Amino acid sequence: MSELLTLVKLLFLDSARNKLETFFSILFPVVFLIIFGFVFGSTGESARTVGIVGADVQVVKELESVGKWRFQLFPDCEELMAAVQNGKLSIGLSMNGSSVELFYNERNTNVLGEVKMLQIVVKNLLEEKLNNARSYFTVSKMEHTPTGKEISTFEHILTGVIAISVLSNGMFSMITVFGNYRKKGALRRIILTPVKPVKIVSAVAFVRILMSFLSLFITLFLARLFFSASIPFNWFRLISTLVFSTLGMMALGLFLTAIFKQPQTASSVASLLNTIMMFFAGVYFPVHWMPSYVRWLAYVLPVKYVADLVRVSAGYQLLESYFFWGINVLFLICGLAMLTVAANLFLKSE
Amino acid sequence: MSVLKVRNLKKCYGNVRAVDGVSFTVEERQIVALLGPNGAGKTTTIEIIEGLRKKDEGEIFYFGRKVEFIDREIKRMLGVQLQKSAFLDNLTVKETLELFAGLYGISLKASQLGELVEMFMLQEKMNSRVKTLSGGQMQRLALAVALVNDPKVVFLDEPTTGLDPQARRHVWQIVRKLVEEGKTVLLTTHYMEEAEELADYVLIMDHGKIIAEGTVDNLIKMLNMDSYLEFVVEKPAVFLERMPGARMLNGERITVPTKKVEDDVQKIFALAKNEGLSVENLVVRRPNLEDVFLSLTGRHLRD
Repeated sequence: MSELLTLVKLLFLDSARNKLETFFSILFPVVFLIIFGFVFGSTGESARTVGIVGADVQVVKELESVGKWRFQLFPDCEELMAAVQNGKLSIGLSMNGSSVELFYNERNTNVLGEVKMLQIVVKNLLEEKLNNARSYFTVSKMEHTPTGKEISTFEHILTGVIAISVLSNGMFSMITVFGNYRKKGALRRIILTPVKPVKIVSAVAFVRILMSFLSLFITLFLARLFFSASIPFNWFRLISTLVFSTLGMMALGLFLTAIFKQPQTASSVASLLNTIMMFFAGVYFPVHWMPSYVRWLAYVLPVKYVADLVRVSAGYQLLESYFFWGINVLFLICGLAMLTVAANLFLKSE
Repeated sequence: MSVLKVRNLKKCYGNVRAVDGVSFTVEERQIVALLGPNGAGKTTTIEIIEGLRKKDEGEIFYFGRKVEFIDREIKRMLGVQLQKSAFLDNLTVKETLELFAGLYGISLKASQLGELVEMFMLQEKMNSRVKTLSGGQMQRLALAVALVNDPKVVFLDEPTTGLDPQARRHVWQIVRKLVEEGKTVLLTTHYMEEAEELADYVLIMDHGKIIAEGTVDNLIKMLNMDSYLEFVVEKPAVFLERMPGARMLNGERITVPTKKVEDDVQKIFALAKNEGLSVENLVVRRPNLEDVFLSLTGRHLRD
């Protein structure tokens, strides 16, 4: 037992001090989280800045509470028009008593829908404020989302970041341990000690799972700190997902290490796979955003299933229990099988 | 009692016979040197005995017990320094020693750790990461790791390669001390001075076979030569033709075996005078293991 503990402690230290590994498994996903978080915000959409002239503070506050726009005050109409004309702003709004004018570039088709929406919102707001108008009918919309709770773009990215970090953590670390360290000869010296190969691979796997949890907590902490994001995870499901999918991604790394004798080649292939999976597995963007002819690709990329499992654990996606646990068991089997192969391939006499 | 006995050990890589029927015995508290040029099969032999490589044929006995593979019980008694040492890059020297102690199921006390780092002059590097160590420091760390489990048998594969002369002598002192403490040492080297300095028994290997073995004195006596003359001349061809047994050494010096030093020195000067050449840096020296190897193979140890 003490052998295992010593191995876990020191492999963890070695791993945590490995800048490249830490970058790919922790910092890289966090960087994506922060970039996308600031672009989309925790509500999922980016708020457009609209220039405004002649509105009182109360009206601006009311408009901002819609959450769709930020407003920048302008001293007069000329300046506002100039800002729209030279492209600094896409939409300008001028209020003068009961008259409201909207400025926009009519060639910019991207804003047409938003202009229409702004027009309706402003009209309703002003009618309500100025005329004290009240609706006779209230129409409620009850959305039925068969795929679980509605997920915002930010939440989609956040859960994707967790999946990508599991992938990087499992895949790249195996190339470091069983590729680089084997090539350099560090594993040969360990083989000569009385410790059993199964203990070595168990320690390696345990450290990877530990790193996955560390990465998860950092990601969730930053998401909460910067974007006030709070995902109501089913922790039992999430913990199981993290453990089993880390093992599954380790299997992928071990597979690459086994087929490419040069760790540098394995590492390059892993980087390529990592990039493909980031953009084509529905991790950062939903699969239906992709052109239909490349959607099939997502279904053959294992990280898609990691992301699905994380989203199911967060309640954003519904999946039959047997399917959820089936994928987890498959990851577990792949991980254990490849670790057994690794113990026999890399930790035995030559 | 013999600590290690190897019988008819064989290992092939494709058509290459790396180890071709090697047999030898290592007695308790002995320093045995496996001496030979690069590619002679020394490392493969020692790595089979350590349990790093599988043998194709042959028998290995540890403490009288025949072992088919090197099991955990045997591994606990062995200390190993590999020819090319590598450790986990991001651990410090201290952590690396703790790691290996842990792998042997030992908890190193601070005093033991201090002793080890002091023995290999690594005190200043105790908290430095492995990846920042120089080649010599890495070699010393590998030696320290080899002793972390207080082994009965120590395997050192070219222990002083990459070390400066001072560090080399320091390692030699440590090896002698290990034997004083009751340990047995099997080392490989291509430095004949190292074998001469340390070994109680020398096994000379070439092309996967042991071509000679014995104590240093006995091996040298086999040459049946009292002395060797070494000198430098501009046109060595004349001397190589006319002096029996004359050979080039390191491409610049001529070495001539002799039983009658005075006669042969006069002969060299006479020959030089006839040819209009001058003899420089003439020295008379005792025969060494390099001469033994040269006489057996016609090649130098470092060819």
